[in-house]
Amino acid sequence: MTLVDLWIMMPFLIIGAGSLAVLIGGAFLPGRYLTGVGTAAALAAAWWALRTPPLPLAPFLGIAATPFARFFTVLFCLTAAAALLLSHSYNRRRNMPGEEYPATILFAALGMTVLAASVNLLTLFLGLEALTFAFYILTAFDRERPESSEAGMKYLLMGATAAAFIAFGMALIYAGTGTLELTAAMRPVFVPGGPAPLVAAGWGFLLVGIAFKVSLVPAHLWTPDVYQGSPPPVTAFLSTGSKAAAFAALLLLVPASATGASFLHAPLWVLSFLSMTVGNLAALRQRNLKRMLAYSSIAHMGYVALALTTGSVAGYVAVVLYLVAYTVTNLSAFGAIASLSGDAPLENIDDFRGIGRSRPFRGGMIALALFSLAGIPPTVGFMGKFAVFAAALRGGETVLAVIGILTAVVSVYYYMRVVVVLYSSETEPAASLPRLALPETVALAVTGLSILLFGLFPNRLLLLIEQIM
Amino acid sequence: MNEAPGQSVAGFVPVMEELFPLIVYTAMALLLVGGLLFAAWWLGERRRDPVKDAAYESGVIPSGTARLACPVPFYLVAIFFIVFDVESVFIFIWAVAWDLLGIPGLMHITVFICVLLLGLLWLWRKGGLDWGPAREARSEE
Repeated sequence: MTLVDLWIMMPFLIIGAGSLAVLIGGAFLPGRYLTGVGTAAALAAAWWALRTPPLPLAPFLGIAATPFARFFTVLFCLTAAAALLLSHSYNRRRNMPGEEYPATILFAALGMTVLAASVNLLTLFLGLEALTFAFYILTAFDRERPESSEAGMKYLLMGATAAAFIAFGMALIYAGTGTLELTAAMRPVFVPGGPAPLVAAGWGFLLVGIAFKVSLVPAHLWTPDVYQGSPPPVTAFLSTGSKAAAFAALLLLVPASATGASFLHAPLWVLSFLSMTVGNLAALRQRNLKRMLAYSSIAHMGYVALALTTGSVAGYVAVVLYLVAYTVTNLSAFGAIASLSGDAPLENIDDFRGIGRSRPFRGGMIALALFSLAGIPPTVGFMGKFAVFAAALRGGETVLAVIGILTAVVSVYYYMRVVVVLYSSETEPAASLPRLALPETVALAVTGLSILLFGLFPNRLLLLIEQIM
Repeated sequence: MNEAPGQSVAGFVPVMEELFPLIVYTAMALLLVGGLLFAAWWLGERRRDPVKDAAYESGVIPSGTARLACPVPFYLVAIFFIVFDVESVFIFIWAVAWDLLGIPGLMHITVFICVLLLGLLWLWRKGGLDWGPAREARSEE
C-alpha cells in the first residue's frame, strides 16, 4: 500500500469516514445537523474526485481512478448529496429522525463509487451489493407505513435473488476465463465467434441479475411496488443512483467496440424491446404518479439498453448522457413529490390537481421533469433521447430505434396528462401541503437548472463523456 | 454460428466437457428435489382427519397460538451475534496469512476491526445491549 493507493482511495475514505462520523455523532449528539455533515462529506468526495489527476491502478485494492470512475464518482456523490437535501425536511415531517438515514445514504454512495472504480469482478460485486444492501434498509425506512415495509421486503427478496444470479454468473465467468481482472476476464469473451459455453452461461446469469437491478422487462415486477412504497426521497435516490450504478457496471463489463457486444446483442435487443413497450404501455394506465414514474423508469432503462445494444462508442456515450439526464430529471420529479408529501402521502395523479398554480415552484419542477422525461426540448431529456436514437440509427438498430421513437411518442400522452392536471384551474384547498424548506429548494433549483442547462448546452457534457470512454 | 462445419464438430467436444459438471449438477439438484417430492407424494398416506391436519409438534398435542410474543432483545442479540461472528471469520482468515499480507494486511484488518468497534459503540450507545426497559422508557419514569 503506497501513498498513491491512499490518493486513489481518498473519495471512498471521505464517504466512508463521513458515514461513520454521522453514525457515531448521531449516537452521542443527536440533531438535525447530521444531514449537513453527510452532504458535506458527499460534496467533499466529489470535489476530491474532480481534483485528482487520473491515476491508473491500486493493485492491492482492486480499484482504479480512471476517468470513467472519476466521472461516475462525481455523479453519484452529487446524487447522494441531493437525496440528503431532499429528505431533510421530509424525514422530519414523517417523524424519521436519526443518524441512520444519512449514514445509509452515504454508504449506498460508497457502494456506487466503489463499483464505478472497480477493476476486478470481486470489487464490482462488492460495490453492487454494498449499494443494494443500503437500499434494502432505505426502502423500508418508514417503519410506521406498512407500504414501506412491504416495499422493503419485496426489494430484499428480489434483490437477493438477483445477487445470487450475479454471483453465480461471475463464478462461471471466472471458471471459464481463469481470472477475476475485468479486462483480462472480458477480453477472451468478446472474440469473434462468441465465447466458450461456460462463459456464455455466466453472461446469461449476469445479464439476468443486472436486468433485475435496472428493472428491465421481464425482471421488472418489483419496480412499481417498491417505488410506490418507499419514501419519495429514497425513490429519488433509488431510481437514479442504483440504476446508473448498475449500467456503469454493464459498461465496465462490456468493452466498447463495434463488434464488441455481438453475442450479447440478441438478449439486449429483447430486453430493450420489451422494456420500452411494456413500460410505456403499462404507464398509460396508472392513476398513481409514483407507479406511473416507476413504469416510465422501466421504459427509460429500455432506451438506455437500446443505446447499449449498438455496442459502438457513440452508443456508450449516449448511455452515459442518458443516465445523467435521467438522474437530474428524476431527482427533481421525486424531490418535488417528496416536498409536497406531508402526513398523507401525495400520490394519486388527481391529488396534484391545481398544484402548479397554488405551489408554482414545486409544481413547475414536476412539470419540467415530466417534459424532460417525455423528451421535449429544450430539456436534457430531449438531448438524451436524441443521442440514443441517433446512435441506434447509426449503429444499424433501425427496427428497435423506430419502436423506441413510437413508444416515446406514446409516452408523451401520459406525461402531458399529469401536466394538464397540475395546471387545471380547480384548485384544492391546499392548506395541508407542507411548506417549502431551504434544503429542498437548493436541491430542486440545482437539478431543475441542470435539466435546462444540459438541455440547452449539451456540448461540454458530451465532450466530457467522450473523454471518459 | 458462422463457423465451417468441421470446426463446429471440433468445437462441440469442449462444449460438452465444459458443460458436463454443470449438467450433472443441475440433474442432481432436479433429481434430488423431484425424487423427494415424488416419494413423499407416492409413499405418503392421503387420508385427512383432524389429527393429520394438526400441526406437527413431535408427538405433543399442540396448544395455544403459534404467534408468541417473544422479548425483542433475544432477536437483537442474535443479529449482533451474526455480525461479530462474521467479523471473527474474517479475522481468522487474516490471522492465518498474516505474515504473507504484511503491513498492508495489518492496516486493512485494523480498519475493519475499528469500523466494527464503532458499530459496537453505536449499538451500545443506542441501547441495543440493554436487557429490560429501553433507555427512553427508563428516563421517562
